[in-house]
Amino acid sequence: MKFSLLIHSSPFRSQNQLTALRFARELIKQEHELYRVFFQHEAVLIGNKLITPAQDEFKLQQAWQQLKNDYQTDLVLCVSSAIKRGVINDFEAQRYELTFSNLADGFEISGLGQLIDACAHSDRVISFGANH
Amino acid sequence: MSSPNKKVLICLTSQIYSNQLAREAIDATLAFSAFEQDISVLFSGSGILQLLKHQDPSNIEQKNIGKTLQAFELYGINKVYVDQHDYLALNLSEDDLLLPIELLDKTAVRKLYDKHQFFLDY
Repeated sequence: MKFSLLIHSSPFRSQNQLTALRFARELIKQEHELYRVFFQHEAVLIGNKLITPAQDEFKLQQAWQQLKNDYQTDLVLCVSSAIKRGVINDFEAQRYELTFSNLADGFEISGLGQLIDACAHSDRVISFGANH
Repeated sequence: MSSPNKKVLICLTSQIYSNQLAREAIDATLAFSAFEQDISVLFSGSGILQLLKHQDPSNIEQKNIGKTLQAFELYGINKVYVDQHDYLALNLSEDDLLLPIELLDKTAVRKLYDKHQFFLDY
């Protein structure tokens, strides 16, 4: 079955985004297809490459990147959520005349059309983290 | 990108001004409509308060969500439902709301879910 995930939860505030990652890994393990992970709301904070976890802490950003490397999973941050929270790629940096960008490797910034496309192409879309 | 057979139910449960989720959910709702997807919207819990008339969040430096919700009609979003149980708990009447809505009891909410392939929870 083809899945997409819609994640709202902050990578810092609760365990919810970690749960989403574990769900993603598990469904791939069970030989389902993961079409796209769409990050909106506070979830987009995961795309900031300046995030520096303590050495002995779980590295959630790295774990998403690993998923992308291993399975070419699409990791898309909602553009309007991302730029207002300071998660910026080169294109947006240029557009808003900012001096630098900070989007982590493996993530991309795009519009809500990518969420709609994910619904159109998936059998299931699982939401994570409303109100987390 | 069109998905003629897939109906999407957007569930709006977030409190109105305590964080950005309500606003970002409405952005998503308008986007689904702009891409001509078959969507319905269900307000429940504290999310129902998003529908209140006469919102004036200017004192808390926020943009008026009610004004954006009024664009639903312009976007052709007319399948707007409210969970009756939560609505009654909030002691509201339809005069308090800024959009025409349909109240659904528990059984009807369940039927609404049955009619849709996707539920996006906000």
